[in-house]
Amino acid sequence: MHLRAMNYSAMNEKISDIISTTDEQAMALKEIDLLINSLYSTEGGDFEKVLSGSVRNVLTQFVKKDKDYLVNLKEEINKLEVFHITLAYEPSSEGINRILTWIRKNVNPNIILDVTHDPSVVAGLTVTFRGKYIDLSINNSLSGTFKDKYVDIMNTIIKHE
Amino acid sequence: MNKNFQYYLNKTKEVGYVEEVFPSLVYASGLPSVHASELVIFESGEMGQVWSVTENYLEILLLTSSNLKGGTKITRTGKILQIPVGDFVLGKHLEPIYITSNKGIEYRPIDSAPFGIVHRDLVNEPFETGVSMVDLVVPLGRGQRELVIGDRKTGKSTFSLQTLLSFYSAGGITIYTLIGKTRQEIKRLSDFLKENNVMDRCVLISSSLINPPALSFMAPMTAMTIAEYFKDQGKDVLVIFDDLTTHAKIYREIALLARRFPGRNSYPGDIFYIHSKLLERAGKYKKGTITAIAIADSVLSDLSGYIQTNLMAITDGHIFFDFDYFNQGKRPPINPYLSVTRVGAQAQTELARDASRTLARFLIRYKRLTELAHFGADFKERAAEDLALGEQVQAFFNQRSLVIVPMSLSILIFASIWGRLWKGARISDFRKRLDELIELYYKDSTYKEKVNGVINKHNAFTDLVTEVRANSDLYI
Repeated sequence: MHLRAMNYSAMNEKISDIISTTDEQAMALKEIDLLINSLYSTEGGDFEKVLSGSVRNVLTQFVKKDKDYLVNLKEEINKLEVFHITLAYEPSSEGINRILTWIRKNVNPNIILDVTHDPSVVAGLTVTFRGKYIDLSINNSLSGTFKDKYVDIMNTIIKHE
Repeated sequence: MNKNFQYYLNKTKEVGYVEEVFPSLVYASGLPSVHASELVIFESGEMGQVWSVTENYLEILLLTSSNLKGGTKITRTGKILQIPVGDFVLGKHLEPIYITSNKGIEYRPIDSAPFGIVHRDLVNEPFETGVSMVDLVVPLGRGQRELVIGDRKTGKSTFSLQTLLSFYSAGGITIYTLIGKTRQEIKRLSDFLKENNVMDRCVLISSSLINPPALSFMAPMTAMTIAEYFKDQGKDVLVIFDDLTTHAKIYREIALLARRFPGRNSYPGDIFYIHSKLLERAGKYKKGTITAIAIADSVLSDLSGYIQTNLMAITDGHIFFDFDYFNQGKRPPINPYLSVTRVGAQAQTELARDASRTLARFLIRYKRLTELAHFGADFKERAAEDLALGEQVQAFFNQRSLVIVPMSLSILIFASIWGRLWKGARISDFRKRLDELIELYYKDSTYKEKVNGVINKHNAFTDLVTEVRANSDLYI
């Protein structure tokens, strides 16, 4: 049991290396499901066929032809914590990696990102993690400023008219 | 994104996600600081109430109709479920959870603990239902909690409406709660209340079968909260729950979906607690009264059902609507031998108590005689006379639906029957004359004063009988 636990811990770090976002997590889970289903096939060679045809190369290094192993692998993938961010733009994969590297270094190495695109954020971002929500968007600060200084702003506008 | 959701999200800075959706119930993750009973709002605008909090998930009761999907965001509101209360509710037909645009209105939590004994007083004022049989045999007091139990379609709701009309005419505030009824039933009752012009001091709270079950579950609590508001103003309030067996079934549905351990008849273990906590809020207070009439359905006149016996244990008595009596043509089909009032007698006047005692003794004797009559026994003159008298009493109790018979007139008519003033009269003629007397009482103020005068004058029933016999022309 101890050895097994050690294995998963070591494997977990690697799994998190190849899964960065919730989309990739969902994809990996689907691929493992296909592999588990292929184990029940009555025709021989199905597992290998699925492994070569339907599973991405990055994942194949983690796969073994063992049902219990695959089920545990799924559980480990499900355990990855999701860090939700909402941005005003759609970030490139390089941008996502940079954000993720920073978060993994400073918060938790087993984190994956869920990135949402919402132009109303304007700039900055909103963050949701472990049930907490932080709004670091320009939209929020502008709304706050407009609310606090409504009279001053309106007076300035009227003066310039 | 819903505006309210965004507002509360910025305020509480906590978010959760829907994980699993059942009709009326949602399992969710997140919201680390949420507490039980707190209101939550969904991204799509729906409202819910946290029912329980575990280490891994939250159980949320849905309060609005919804089509939620997994992954929908939820945020806290930091508030518990409250309803606005005030005089503005009078004359309104409300859903169990309602809002108002009125400003400066008081809000009260709907699920509050009953008041303690120091706030309470003895039930000592009579409550007139306007149904002669109940007023004489199973009398009620203001602040009493009475169960009305019987099979479906035996006239329980009609009786409660009669009670409502009678209480309204006595100047009280009335609240009628329909729980899990069909739209037609709700419409019918709403129309009835409007046609009888009682809405100015009445509140109708209804939840239909198409509403989320949580709303039906909360309907009686809302009614009681409104009742407490008026009670605190020193007013007398009548609350009718139609019906608590449906309420229990709705609660069972929610509890089973929430994977609560099922108890007897699959009801959750705390159903007794839910009902007792609700009905305990009624009572006679130092300021104001809340009289509760709880309706319960029985199956094939079986009074030993789980919910039925629970309610009997909680309330201060029950009025049993017997299906056999209904088939015999008795209206209302109340079985006086199986009906109970625990505190009503102490609220009666001395005369009414004396009359009730005489009547109760006679009804037992009459029942024995009728049982013997089945065997074709020959009776002596006295017994035959009692049988004839019993028939007259039964005819007197056969009351047209929604006709209110004042207590004083009920006692007077019973005194006239007891004084053998109707001896030899045909039942149809007797009944016709009774209807005329009831009409006369309402139309002729002199007659009304005369009846009330003679009732107030005497403390002993025999004295009243003597007077009525001596001056029969004046009274009947």
